[in-house]
Amino acid sequence: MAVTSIRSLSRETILALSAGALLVLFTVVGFASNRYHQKRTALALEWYARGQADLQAQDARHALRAIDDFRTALIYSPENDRYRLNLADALIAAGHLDAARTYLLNVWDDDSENGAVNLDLARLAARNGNTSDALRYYQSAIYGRWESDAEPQRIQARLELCRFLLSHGRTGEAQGELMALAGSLPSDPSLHTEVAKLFLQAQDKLHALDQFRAALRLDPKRLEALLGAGEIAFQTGDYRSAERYFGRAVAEQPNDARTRSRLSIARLVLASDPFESRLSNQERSARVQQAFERALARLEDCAHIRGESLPSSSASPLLDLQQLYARAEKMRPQVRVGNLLRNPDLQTSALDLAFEAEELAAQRCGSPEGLDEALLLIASAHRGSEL
Amino acid sequence: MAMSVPPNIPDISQTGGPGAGRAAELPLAPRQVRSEWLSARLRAVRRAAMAEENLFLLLAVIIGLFSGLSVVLFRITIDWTRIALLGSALAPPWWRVLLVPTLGGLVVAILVLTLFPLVRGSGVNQTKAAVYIYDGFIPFSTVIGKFITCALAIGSGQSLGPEDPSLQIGAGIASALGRRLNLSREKVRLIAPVGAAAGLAAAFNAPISSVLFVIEEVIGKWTAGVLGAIVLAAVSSVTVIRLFLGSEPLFRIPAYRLVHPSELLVYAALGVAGGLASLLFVKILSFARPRVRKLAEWTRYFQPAVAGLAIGIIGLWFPQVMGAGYDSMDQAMHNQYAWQILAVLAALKILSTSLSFTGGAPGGMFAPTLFIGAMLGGALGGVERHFFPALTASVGSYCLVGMGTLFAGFLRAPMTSVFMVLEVSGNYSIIVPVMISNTIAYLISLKYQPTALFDLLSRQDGVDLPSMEELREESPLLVEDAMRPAGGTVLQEDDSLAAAVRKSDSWPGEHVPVSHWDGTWSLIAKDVLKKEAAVRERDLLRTILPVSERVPVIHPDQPLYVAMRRMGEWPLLPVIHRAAFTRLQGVISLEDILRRYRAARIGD
Repeated sequence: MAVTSIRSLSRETILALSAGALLVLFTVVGFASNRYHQKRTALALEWYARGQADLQAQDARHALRAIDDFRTALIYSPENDRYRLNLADALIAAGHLDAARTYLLNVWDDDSENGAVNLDLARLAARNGNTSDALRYYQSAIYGRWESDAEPQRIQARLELCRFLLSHGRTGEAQGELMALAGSLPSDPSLHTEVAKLFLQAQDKLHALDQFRAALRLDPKRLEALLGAGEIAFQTGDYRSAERYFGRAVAEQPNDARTRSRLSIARLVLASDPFESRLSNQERSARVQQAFERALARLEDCAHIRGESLPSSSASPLLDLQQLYARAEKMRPQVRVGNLLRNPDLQTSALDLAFEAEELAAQRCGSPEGLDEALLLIASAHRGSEL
Repeated sequence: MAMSVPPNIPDISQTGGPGAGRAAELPLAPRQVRSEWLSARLRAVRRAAMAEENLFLLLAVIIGLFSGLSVVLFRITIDWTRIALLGSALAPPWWRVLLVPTLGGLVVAILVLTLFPLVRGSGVNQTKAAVYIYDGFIPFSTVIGKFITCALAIGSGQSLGPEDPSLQIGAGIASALGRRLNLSREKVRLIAPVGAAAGLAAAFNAPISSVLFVIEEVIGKWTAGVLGAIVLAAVSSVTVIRLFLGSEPLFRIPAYRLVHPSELLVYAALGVAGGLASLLFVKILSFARPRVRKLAEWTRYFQPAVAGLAIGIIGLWFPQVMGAGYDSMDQAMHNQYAWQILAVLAALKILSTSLSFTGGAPGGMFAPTLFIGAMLGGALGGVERHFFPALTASVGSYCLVGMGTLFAGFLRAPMTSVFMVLEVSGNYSIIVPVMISNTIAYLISLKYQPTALFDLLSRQDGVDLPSMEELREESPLLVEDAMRPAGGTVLQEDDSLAAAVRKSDSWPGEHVPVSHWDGTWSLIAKDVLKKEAAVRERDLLRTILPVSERVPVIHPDQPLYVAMRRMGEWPLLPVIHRAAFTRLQGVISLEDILRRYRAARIGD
């Protein structure tokens, strides 16, 4: 009956009814497809979250489960780069390095500019000892496209490249990358500190100190930077700066014995250094005498430790400690402040002998401490200098 | 508000339009004139729109939209069913893997056997049957049944695909609309393939391949009348599917490049492997299906369930074989499986799809074919990569070419197979490997399995549908096979009658062809010629030939049936050269034609 009545309708009416039906169907399908996409997105997120949880567990069993989780997430959101990279990470975590590399290469085929993919490939190549591939992918990662926070990601990639270069002894290339990096660092004390440490590894103390100082300008109490800057100043003989940095570091961390010791040495150097430019002649002569006396005492202590008698026996040939001690003993009566004030040559000879004694004692009896250490440092900084 | 007649509207009272007679008697007000003119125009437009040809094209668009919307719903329903029944995980829990396909198979069997008996099979042959047997009639209940049962079967893990059902859904919608609109029988018969193209285009998100497939497998020939409608329907449905499901292809296509020409050898090997796999697949189906169908009637309620259980057992270790498998194809294309796994998956998919199909679960063969091809291609690509890493680019390319290879070898649609890969990949540089591989697979399949899959299935079902492949492969008898050589010197219209008589003596038979200056030909009976020559031997031959009685001509390369059609009452036809209309290559008579057909029959 209904069919007959439909057949009796004109073509125009049936077409109009079809248009109406299309409209209704469009609405229904629109609603259904909307729900469908929402459901798929929700499922993708759910599996992604599971994958992340499994990946964070950091054991092989969970890593294997994470692979399935991320693969499932990718079924519902196949183009999601984040999921793809996490799948690669899961493969790596599960030890499926070949599979991870193949997978990443596929992703790379789709999007060779992707910074994150290039970085993962670089890490894999580095792990496999493939230096040329690693360098190529690191460079692509640095200049590649990043979905979010591009600059920080590029900086991290370059930092990683620098570490890789340093670990492979390619110091020159690492220095180049570090300098490029130093020029583009944001105002972040931790980054400046990190770069400074890498400069130190690359034997570039000057740039390292610059970076520590940059970090300290942004965060004056940053302990790592204070220690780093202090150490560089100490090693380069800038004991005044070293004393300043270590002093601030000790104020920040009073219980750090090593820093306290470094500070104390720096202070001793500053207090004992006869080469200090602003000293009066009286003071300088007093410091020379003090250094001379201390060096003699150090020789005596050293001889005592080694079981040697310093008064020479005429029967046996003289040992170097005994010879030096004999020379010092001979000079000792002259090394008085009054004499030293009048005779600059005596100052120089007395200091040379003191330095020689400290160095010999260090060779024979090990690293000194306290004032002896300070004298040794002064010796290494001013050997051969005129007072 | 008074409105004047626009200046470009002619005064119909002066031009004899509708109401012109009345207008001659009574002067009409301008508003009345305008209103009558407008209604006349509307009637004319309506008549034009409702004319069968135009309506057919309009209907094609509507069918495309309906089919597209239905396929969107169909795909969503399949996916939701899968998630609801098997869960959203890549590898569902074991109890679901065993229970869902089994119980799903049972429910599908009950639905098919009690409510929708016509929904068995893939849908391609059913659409062909509608075109060639049932005058384009596909009951609308089949559309509903196909939708529900296929969604349940595929969603519950049967190893079948949604494309062929989409084709039948589109054809069913088209058939219903065509019937409601009281189209002519010829148009209703043609409307089903239009819907089929729309359904397939939406399922594949690939209009060109779908149009080609319908022409290659359902209609079998290109005709201008139906081509426009098929293209319109396919484009409309694809537009709808892209609107709702996005324009991405069914799987993400990896980049393709040929690393070294020697790689083509591996693609050739893929063609061989694809051809052999296609053969194996068809042989299993041709062996198992009729035997399963012979089992007792009551077993049909359990056949899909048993198939489902077997697939579930396989799915415990290889869940990838369950359902259509597009996700696994995508993963294979992106190198997520080792080549050994890919080879195993290809073999297991042949087994599981054979189980599902012979078990009588409704669903399509396209997706499993693509799956097997992708896995086979990926396995070969993986082997090459393993042994000759420098010679190959991406395994994904082999997966893609493998899909086309199986499509050519198993479904035996060579043109569609090539264009499908091109259309899906959007990369025309892949055409060389695709052509090499597909051709080899197709030729192997053709050589060792003379009957194509769809023809085989229809014959198993007791229906002898026209085989498009047989039509393609058939070499018709040509005129040159039956013609006789010209017996003597050709008579020219400017010959004297006496000369013509002399020339005609060299001709066997009673009639002699005469060549005219304009490339047309006549026939003259020898006795008439002699009689006329006896009276006026110096007159020219053309004076006795009536201008209107020119004999139809034929060329040697034309099919013999064309000669037969043109023969009419003529005793013979001149066979002339295509590039020189006055050059006679031979003659052909009805006896010659029949003799040749008899000889061919004896040869058969």
